[in-house]
Amino acid sequence: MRILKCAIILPLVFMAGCWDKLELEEQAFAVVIGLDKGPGNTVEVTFQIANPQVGSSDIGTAQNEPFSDTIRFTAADILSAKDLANSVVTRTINFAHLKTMVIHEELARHEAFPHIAGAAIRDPEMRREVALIVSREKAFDFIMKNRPKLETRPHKYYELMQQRWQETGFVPFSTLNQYLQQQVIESMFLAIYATADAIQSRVSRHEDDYLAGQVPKRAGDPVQMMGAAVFQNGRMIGTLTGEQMRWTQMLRHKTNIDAFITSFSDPLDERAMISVRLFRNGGTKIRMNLRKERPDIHVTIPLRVQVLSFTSLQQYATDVRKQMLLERHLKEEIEKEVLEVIRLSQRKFKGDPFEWELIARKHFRTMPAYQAYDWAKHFKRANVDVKIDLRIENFGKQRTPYTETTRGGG
Amino acid sequence: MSTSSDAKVGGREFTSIFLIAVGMKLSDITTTILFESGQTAGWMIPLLSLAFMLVAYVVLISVLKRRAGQGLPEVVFAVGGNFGGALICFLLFASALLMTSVTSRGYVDIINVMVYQRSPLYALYLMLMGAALFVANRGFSAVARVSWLLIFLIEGAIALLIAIIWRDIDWLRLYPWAGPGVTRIVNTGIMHSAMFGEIILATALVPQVASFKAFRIGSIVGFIVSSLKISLLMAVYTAVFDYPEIIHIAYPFQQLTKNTSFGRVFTHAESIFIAFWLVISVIYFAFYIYLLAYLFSRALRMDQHRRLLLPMAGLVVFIGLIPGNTEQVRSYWEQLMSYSTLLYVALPFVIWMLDWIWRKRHANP
Repeated sequence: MRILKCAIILPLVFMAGCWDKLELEEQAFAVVIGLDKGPGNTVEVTFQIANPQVGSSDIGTAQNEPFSDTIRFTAADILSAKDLANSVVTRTINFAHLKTMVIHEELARHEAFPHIAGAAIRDPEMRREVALIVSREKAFDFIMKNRPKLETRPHKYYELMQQRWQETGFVPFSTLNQYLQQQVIESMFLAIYATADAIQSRVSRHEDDYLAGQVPKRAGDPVQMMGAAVFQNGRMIGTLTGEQMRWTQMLRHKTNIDAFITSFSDPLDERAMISVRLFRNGGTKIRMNLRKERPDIHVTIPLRVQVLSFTSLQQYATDVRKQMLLERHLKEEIEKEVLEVIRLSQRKFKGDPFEWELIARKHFRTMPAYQAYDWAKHFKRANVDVKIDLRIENFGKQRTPYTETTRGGG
Repeated sequence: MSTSSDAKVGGREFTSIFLIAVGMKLSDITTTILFESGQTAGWMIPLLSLAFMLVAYVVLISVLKRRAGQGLPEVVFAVGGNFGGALICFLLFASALLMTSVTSRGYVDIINVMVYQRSPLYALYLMLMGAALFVANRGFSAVARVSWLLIFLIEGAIALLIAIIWRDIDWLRLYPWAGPGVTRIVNTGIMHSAMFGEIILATALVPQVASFKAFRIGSIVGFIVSSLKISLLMAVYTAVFDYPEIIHIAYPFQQLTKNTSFGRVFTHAESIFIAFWLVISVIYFAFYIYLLAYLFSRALRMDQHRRLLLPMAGLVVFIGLIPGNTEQVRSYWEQLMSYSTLLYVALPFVIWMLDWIWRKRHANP
């Protein structure tokens, strides 16, 4: 009996892992995938494969190897490209550490894109929290040109960028999970918009009113990530600038962005600007009245403001009347900018990028009733009013502008 | 065979078996199927199903209470005679066997699709059932003791999972709260009551438990907590993935664990959860194999249920390998669920009736 038991159990020990064994040494970890439109119904898939030896203590054995290898294949979809890649790459391509997917704008606008993205997620190695970036030029060029000086290892670059995205709010923090979610509902999906070609750089008074490629900068890594690509029903239909993107995030009832620095015109001096840090002071409140043919939507954004600098050198910090003036001015400015974004999405995109459909859903008892209501249609015609609940918190660590004392003393 | 493994099982060990065996349903195809008809209100279905099942359970308990120390098969033979008893026992056995086969096939599919894609199905199946058989072979009290040992780790792992996924949860996604409409939800809840059919099957094990009170409290607590757990996790799935995306996802639990990470350093936390999940699925099927062998031996009125463990495990594998692919498994599951709901709900009432007739006949001699 005992021998019989051993005969049953022992083979299990040896069988374990035979079919799906993975040798760490034989893996090639793709950290970035690029997607371009190929001829016919194919896609051009670019893999950026990290070299784990670079940047580790094992560097001694691989001194002349680059930090990563970038290869492009043309195949029916991502998964078949993965096997095709092994005609060139010596190791098995593995998506387990895939962090980022770069998509060419042309492909994102193409009708086949929802199918390509939907097919890719079937592979269990493909994780739903892969970040989506839409690049203005070909994804292959984007990946080839992206050579950050301070981060040699590509996975680190995207990992750190992800943290910065959540701080500045210039781009949406968008994952494949959100894309797949919003592809099937009526909300619009926003993806990171980026480019490695800075061709139309221009200078704006507002530091965030740019699209990728327009940021005025010199030297450094050519890649810029700014603004958002707007998707509807899984296809890209337009773009939002960094500024519009920030307000869009503020209008959502739940977002990762809590604070960012932005600037407004000075109410007392036309040429001067005021830089402030805005904090979201609790959640954005959205109330709706859906009974009417044109629904009413009331939005309240609670904000805390830290005034960081004002070039006009007015005595905002000490003068209460000027403070009130500033407060009112900021409210008006923000309201204007926010309403502009709402109008843009109502008229140009004809869809809701603010995830307000979640709020609208609350007003319905059953899913069929909600689906019959057709939120996208009603959103276009909704009357939206915005209230900014704003409080100036402090004026930085200088109380009075330095000219004040010299003038007062003289 | 009077080893310590045949000792009676205490209340807390008995409770933890159910917390594992029933709570396990939060991670398998059960939830996916419930979402299809439950939509945004899918999380209510487990609660409704259990409430419905509890009615049948209370009726059955009222009969069992009068016959101290007797399990379901003994009672059935006493009130139904030889033929009726055997018939009911075989019906229960058949439903449990099919259920175990289909569920275990579902688990093997999950392992195959999510983790080991290149391994052949039969090999994974043999390994899972081999491990389950190994545990079941130690006896019911061993299964119970292992459950008690692991229960806090498992519940802790689930709490941890919810904690690290908390950022991705948006409870507004649970609206519209009634999903496809109240009547449809109640209907689905009733039709899927067999999901808690174990509560009826478990009464066969009364003689194995230390006291009837321990049995009653253990099964009630085990089932109520499990259904709350399933319900909570289903709400979390909806709040993370959103309807209608949730019905496109084949295995929400496994996909949820794939989204987890501890900070920026430990990004692939799913391996921890998969390990836990594999361990408890072994216990889960060990319990089932034991139950099958026990029911079968009682149906034939014999005491040697241990010898039956190996054939039972083999039978489960053979039946489980019949469905061609994962979608067929689902449709079999669906059908089985509605038929066995009928069985599990009707049975307590039938037994109560038989018991009533029996009492009448024996009351005035």
